[in-house]
Amino acid sequence: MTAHQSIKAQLEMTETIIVLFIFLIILIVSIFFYYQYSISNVKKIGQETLTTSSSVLLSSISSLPDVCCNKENCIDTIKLLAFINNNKDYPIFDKKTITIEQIYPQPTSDKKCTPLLYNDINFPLNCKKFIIHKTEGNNPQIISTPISLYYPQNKQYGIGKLIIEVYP
Amino acid sequence: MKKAQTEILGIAIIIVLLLVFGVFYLKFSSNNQNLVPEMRKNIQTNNLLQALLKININNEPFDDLVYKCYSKKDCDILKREIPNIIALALNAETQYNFIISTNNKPFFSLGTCSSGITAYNPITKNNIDFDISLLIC
Repeated sequence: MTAHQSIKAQLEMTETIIVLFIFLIILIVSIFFYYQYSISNVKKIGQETLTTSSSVLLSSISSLPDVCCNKENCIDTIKLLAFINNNKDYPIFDKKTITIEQIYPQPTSDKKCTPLLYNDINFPLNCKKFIIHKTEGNNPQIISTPISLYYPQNKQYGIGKLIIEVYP
Repeated sequence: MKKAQTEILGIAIIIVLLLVFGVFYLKFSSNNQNLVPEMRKNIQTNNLLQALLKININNEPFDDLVYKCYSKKDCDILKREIPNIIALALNAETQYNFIISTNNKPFFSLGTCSSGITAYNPITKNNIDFDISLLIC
């Protein structure tokens, strides 16, 4: 091998190494951006799934046998009160605060409904909220729907608002 | 490089470009419409109408009030209370259209909304069939 040939070979080797180096940099940058995109996509899908499951919960709570009326599509308030103290086994309530607010007839008090207030002669006007499940957290996503409430003491119906706060 | 090799390389580049454009086209043309808000509005509209039909307003059942509105043209209670209830149940800014009709002839209507999600429920009072519909924009 002559000196000229050796220099040429070295130059070609250097050229190959530079090309490989640039290719590697481009590959690493591409992988980085691809993963960034994938992660944001996964987060978006997670958020959508959470929203969908909350919406399903919105429609299914009033059909839970523990709280629903016997024949009609409504929530029996006496069953609801019993259910409030006994709903720890429902995994679908995880990371959610679920409240039912009475809106018609409009209550005169903002108090939380308890068995004591329930047995009062002024019920349902003496309390506003039935807190089914409570979770502490920040920045919840809030969804709600009106629902029919049944008061068995006077066999009358009212309108409530089922509010679900979903914590990420 | 020979001419044939250059042409093959050109064709390969064109195929790669076509594939890249095809992938992008498929990605952005796929139907990504989110149906969840519509589903939620559907639940809200149906639940609100179902709940409205069961309540007593000023100690009068809702179907009595509907009949009174039809037979005696006394719709004051409905006119006053329904907007309040809808504002409390949904949102004060929500646009809606609440219609009561019989034999496809509306005799009571509230709100200005013209398109959206509709809930519909028939009731019968004193042998008269009433159609009650609630449309929420």
